[in-house]
Amino acid sequence: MNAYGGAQGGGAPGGREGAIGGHLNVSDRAIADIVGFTVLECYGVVGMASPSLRQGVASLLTRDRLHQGIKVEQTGDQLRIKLYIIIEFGLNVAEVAGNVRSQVAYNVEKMTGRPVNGLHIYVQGVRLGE
Amino acid sequence: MASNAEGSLTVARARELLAAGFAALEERKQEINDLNVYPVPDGDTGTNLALTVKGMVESLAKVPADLSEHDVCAAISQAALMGARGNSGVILSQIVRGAMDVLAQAGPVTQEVLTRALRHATETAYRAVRKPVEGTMLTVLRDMAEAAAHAPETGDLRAFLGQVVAEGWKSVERTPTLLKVLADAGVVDAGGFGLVVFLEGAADGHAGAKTIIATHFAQPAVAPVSFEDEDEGESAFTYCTSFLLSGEGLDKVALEERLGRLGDSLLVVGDARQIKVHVHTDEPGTVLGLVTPMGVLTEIEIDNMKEQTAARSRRLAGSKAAPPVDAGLTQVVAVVAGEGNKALFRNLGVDLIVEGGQSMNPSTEDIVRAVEKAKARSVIILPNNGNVIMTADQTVGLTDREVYVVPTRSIQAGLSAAVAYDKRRPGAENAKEMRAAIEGVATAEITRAVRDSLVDGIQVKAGDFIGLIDDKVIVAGTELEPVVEDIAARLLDGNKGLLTALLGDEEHAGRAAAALEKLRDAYPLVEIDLHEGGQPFYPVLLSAE
Repeated sequence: MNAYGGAQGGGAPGGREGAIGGHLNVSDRAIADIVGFTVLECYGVVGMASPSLRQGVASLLTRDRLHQGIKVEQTGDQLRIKLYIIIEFGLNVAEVAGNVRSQVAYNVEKMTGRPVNGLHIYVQGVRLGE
Repeated sequence: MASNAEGSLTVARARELLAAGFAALEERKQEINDLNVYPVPDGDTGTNLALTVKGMVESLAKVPADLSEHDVCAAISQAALMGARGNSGVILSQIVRGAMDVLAQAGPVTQEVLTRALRHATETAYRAVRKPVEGTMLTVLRDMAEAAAHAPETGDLRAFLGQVVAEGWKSVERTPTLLKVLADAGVVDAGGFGLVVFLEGAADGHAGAKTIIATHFAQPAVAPVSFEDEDEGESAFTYCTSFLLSGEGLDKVALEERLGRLGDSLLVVGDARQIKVHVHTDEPGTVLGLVTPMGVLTEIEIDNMKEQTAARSRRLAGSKAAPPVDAGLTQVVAVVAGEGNKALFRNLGVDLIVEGGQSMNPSTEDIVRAVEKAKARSVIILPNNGNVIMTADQTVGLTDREVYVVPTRSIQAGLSAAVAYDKRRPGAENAKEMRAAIEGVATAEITRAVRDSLVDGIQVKAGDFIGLIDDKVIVAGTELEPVVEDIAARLLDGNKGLLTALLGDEEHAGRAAAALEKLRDAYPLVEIDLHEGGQPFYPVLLSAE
C-alpha cells in the first residue's frame, strides 16, 4: 500500500557512481517477493506461516500465499520487515533465525539498494519429521 | 583383512574423531573463509565450521564417559545442535544428526553402516530446506553418499573413507558449474570445501587426536569452573594468576600444597593429565616457575586485582551489608573483541564481557552465562555487531534476569551506549537512555578486502583497504591513508564535534593513527580521540558524534 520508498534521492551523499536525480520506489509486494524467495533458500526454514496462529497452531503457507507470512512496512526512508517462519525440528533455532536475518538483509539490500532498518523474525512453529 | 578394528563408538573415541576434524578445519580456516561468497559473502564459513566442531568436542567433555553407543550418538547430535554456528554450522549439525540416527541403531561400524549413515545424513540435510540450492555443502554431501554407495565392498574402512573423501573433493571442484555466484567470484563453495576438510581430518586423524585434545581443549571431563567468581572478597595478594597445565601423572594434591604457600584463593581442578589452576599471589613468576617443569602451560592469565578491587569497593560503598541485588539495579553484558576495547568498556562500568565480534560470534549459551553472572536484577546486552543482535534477542526469557537488548551494531556504538549507562537506574530506564545515545552516532570501519569483488557499486581488489559507513562500502583503495581521510571526512560531515578512533591490533593501525593525527589541523574544532582497541581485522574503527 505505502509504496513511497523515496529514500534514494539523487546525488545522495552515498555517492554512487553516475547518480542521476530521481526516485526509485520499490513496492512492498516486490520486496516481499524478494524476501520470500530468499527465505525459501535459507537453510533450516521449511516454510512461511501466517502471522496469526489458528488455535495456537501455525500452519505452513502454500507457495502462492507465501507473502502472507511477510510483512513489509515502508515509512519515509525506513524499511522494516517482519517474517513468520517455520523451522525444521532439531536445529538450533537462534542460529537459523540469525542466518535468515543476514541472508534476507543481504539480498534485499543487494537487489533494491535499500538498507533494511528493522527485521523481525517470528518463529511460528517447528516441523517435526515428515 | 584389517576388518573394522575401529571398535565401538565411545565418548572418548567420538571426541578424538571430532578433535581431528576440528584440527583440520582450524588449520585451513582462513582458506575456507576466503572462499565464502554464498549465501552472504561475510568470510566466516571456516570460522563457523571450526567453532561448531570445537563446541561439539567441548560439550562431549561434559557427558559421562561410559554412555552406551546409542546414547553417545544422541549426545553427539545434541552437541552439534548446541554448538551450531552460522549457516554452515547449522547444516553440519543436521548432517551429523542424520548420520547419528543411523549409527545409534546400527551396532558395529562397517562399510555398509557408514554408507547408510551418509545416505540418511543427506536425506536429513536436504529435508530441512524448502528449496535446496545446488553447488553447496548439500551437493558435496550427496555426491559423497553416492560414491559410498557405489564403492566396492572392502574390509578396509580407512580406504573406503578415502574414496568417499576423494569424490568429495571432485564434487567441490564442480560447485562453480552449479552455482553461478561461485563462478562469478572464481571460487569453489566454502561450505562444501569445509565439509570435506572436516571429514578428511576426522577419517585419518586418529594418530594425533590425543595431542590435539590436549592442546586445543581446556577442561577434559571437568565441568567448566568459573574463576571470575564475584565473591572473591578482599585478597591480600595483588595478582590473580590462572593457567592450564597439561602433562602426564600430574599430582594435584602436591601441587595444591606447594601453591598454597604462595598465595590464597587457590583452586586446582582437573585430573592427572590436565589441571586448571587459579591462585592469588604476589609472586606470579614463582608460581609459573614451579609448574613449568611439570608439563605444558597454556591459557596463562595474570591480572592485577588492585584496580578490580578498587572498583568493587567503590561500587559497594555505602551498602556494606547489601544483598547481591544492591550491586546496582542494572548491569551490562557487552560482546567485545580486543583487549583495549574491553578495558574501555570496563572503565565505563561494564564488567560482564563476552569475547566476540566479526567472524567470531558468541553463542546464545555464552551470552546467557554472562547474564547469569550479573548480581543486578536487570541486565542490558550490548551485542556490538549486527550478526549478534539476534543471538542477544534470543537470551531474553532464558534467565531469571530482566534482560534488555540495546541493538548496537558496532563496538563504537556500544561504547556510546555504555557512556549513558548508570547502574543505579532501573533496567528499562537505562535501556531507553542507551538506545537514545546510539541514535546520533555515526560509525565507520576500515578493513581489508579478502578478494576481488563488486560491493555496493564499488570495485574492490583483494588486499585493498575498504572504508565502510553503517556496514556499506563507501571507498576502496590500495593505500590506507586516503581511505582513512575520506571516511573521517564523511563521518564528520554535519557538525560533529568528536571523532573517536579505536585502533586495531594489526600492523596498519599505526599508519591509521598517523593519518588521523594529521586531521587535527584540517578540523581544528573537532576533538579527535585515539584509543588502542586491539580488535582483529580492522586497523581502525571510527565514530563521530
